[in-house]
Amino acid sequence: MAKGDFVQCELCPRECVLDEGQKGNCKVRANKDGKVITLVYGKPCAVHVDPIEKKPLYHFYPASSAFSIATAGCNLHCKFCQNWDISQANPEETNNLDLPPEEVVRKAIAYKCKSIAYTYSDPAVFFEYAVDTAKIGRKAGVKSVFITAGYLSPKPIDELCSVVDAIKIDFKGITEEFYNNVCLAHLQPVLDAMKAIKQRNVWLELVNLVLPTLNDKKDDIARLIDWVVVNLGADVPLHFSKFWPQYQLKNLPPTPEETLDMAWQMAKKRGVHYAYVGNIPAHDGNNTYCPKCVKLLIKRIGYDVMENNIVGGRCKFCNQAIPGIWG
Amino acid sequence: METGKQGMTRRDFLKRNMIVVAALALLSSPLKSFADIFRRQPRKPNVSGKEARYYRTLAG
Repeated sequence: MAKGDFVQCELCPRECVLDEGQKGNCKVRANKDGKVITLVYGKPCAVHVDPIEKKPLYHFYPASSAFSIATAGCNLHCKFCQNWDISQANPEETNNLDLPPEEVVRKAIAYKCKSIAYTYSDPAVFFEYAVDTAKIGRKAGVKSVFITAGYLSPKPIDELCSVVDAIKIDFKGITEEFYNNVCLAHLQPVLDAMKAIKQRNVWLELVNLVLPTLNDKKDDIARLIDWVVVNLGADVPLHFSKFWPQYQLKNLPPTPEETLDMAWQMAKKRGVHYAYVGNIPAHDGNNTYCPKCVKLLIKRIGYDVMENNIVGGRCKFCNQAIPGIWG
Repeated sequence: METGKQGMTRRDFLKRNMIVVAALALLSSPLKSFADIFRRQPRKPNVSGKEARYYRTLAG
């Protein structure tokens, strides 16, 4: 390796080829002296303690707190991004803290967080920072959850699965056209990522943000649901979330509640055991029901857990095993 | 054409205004330093340079 060499990043399917001094599509990796460097290792621009339900992860230590961190950058460019001010920023533009991995873990413990969440932007682009932190966290008894669009190549996914405890993927749509036009990416790598994670037995939950006119057709939602049931199984929780207009899609209306109800009911009818509605507090879709006896297991209002009837990982009424990591 | 008004030489101008000029010169230096204290300095980017994983060098 020497200055002047071209390098190719192999972290994500974009496989950016970089000239000396050039940054990748994600804006946070660059070619320096013939090596790829990460510009955001230990440099989060967002740090917060959140309820785990905000990620959303509904089957992972309910009512616990997640010490949540993010850096600038992202390898997708979704027009509806809820955190575009950091995901689409250069790391030179954001106010970055100095928070090395061991310090993240110390703070998670100090704030009594059950887990560390790598979130907000996309931890795919701060992969090394997240993985190193997760390894230290594991030794200290702190779990790690990875909140991502899933746009990673197979080898990093494999490494990721060996160090984190749960992954939530934004399954944004079921068509290549949607991923091209709205996210400036491709669908297939995300499908491959979800299958790989499921095979590795890492706890997985999915979110589909329902965008009026873009991915809300009944047929498309049906195909997405069927893909999940066939390829990942009926026990993978699937959340349908309400979109609030921002960034480059302020022209769209918020997702009508009827559309979310339709998706939620369709998911249950087509075999999803744990279908949810997100971003509408007090909706019945916030709650977890036993797929066998249909009794209410976990009652939620927004991010708050009001009632929990899961005991030892089972429905306390009929003893049905409820998949998840309950503590 | 004579106007009856006496012109001022450069020397006279400087003599008359030297006090003002000197005062301005003296004041401008600390004023500038004073302003510098409050002028916003460009923020130095806080980025890392750690070698990443998952890449390869291309031949040629």
